[in-house]
Amino acid sequence: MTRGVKVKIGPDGSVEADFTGFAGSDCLDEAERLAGNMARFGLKVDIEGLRKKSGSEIAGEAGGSAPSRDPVPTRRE
Amino acid sequence: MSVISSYRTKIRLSPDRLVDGAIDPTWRLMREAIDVTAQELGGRVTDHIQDAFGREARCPFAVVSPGFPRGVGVRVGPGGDVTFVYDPYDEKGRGYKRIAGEIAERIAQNYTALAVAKALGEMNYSVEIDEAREGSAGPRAVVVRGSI
Repeated sequence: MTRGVKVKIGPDGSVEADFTGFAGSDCLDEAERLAGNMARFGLKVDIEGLRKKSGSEIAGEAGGSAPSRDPVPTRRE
Repeated sequence: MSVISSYRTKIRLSPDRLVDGAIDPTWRLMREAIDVTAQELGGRVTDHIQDAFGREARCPFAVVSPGFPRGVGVRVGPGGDVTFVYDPYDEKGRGYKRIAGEIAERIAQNYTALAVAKALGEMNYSVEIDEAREGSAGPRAVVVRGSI
């Protein structure tokens, strides 16, 4: 399974990262690596929380359907 | 296991624009965020803003847009902290706080998205950036997707 992350940045600067396809606690390590790398690019980062996905959320990801897309996607250069 | 992690972020550039004779990556990223924001708003990039009386105030970066032609500027403090500067009132006391605030918010949001994309790129992810809204008038979100 491809590993991936969807990071949503809100207008108030809040950042939510949704990791998929990682085994065991690998996604926790990946979340920390991402925070560390963001700091290198000028973002002071406080981790507010880590939430384990529910069974239905994980089942939804493994369902084989096309990845969900946000409405009005706009590709930026 | 799969997790959703939440972060609170604050932009902090290098205090110095030039480091060892080269432009610091955080300043390059801010310039990129300013360029993207100006393009999205149909505006342009300048190095100053104007107050209600037409007086100019210099700043390293500024975005001037048709909706707020006096501009929103970015200033960088001695510790690298970023502040947005603009004059939200005109001589008749009418306010432009909302539109100026939205432009500042958009610059910060675009900077954060670009920084996240760069961070994921360093982790060898293939990255794409989209814009999304909840409903037709919902708040704007920027979504960075990475796969590896």
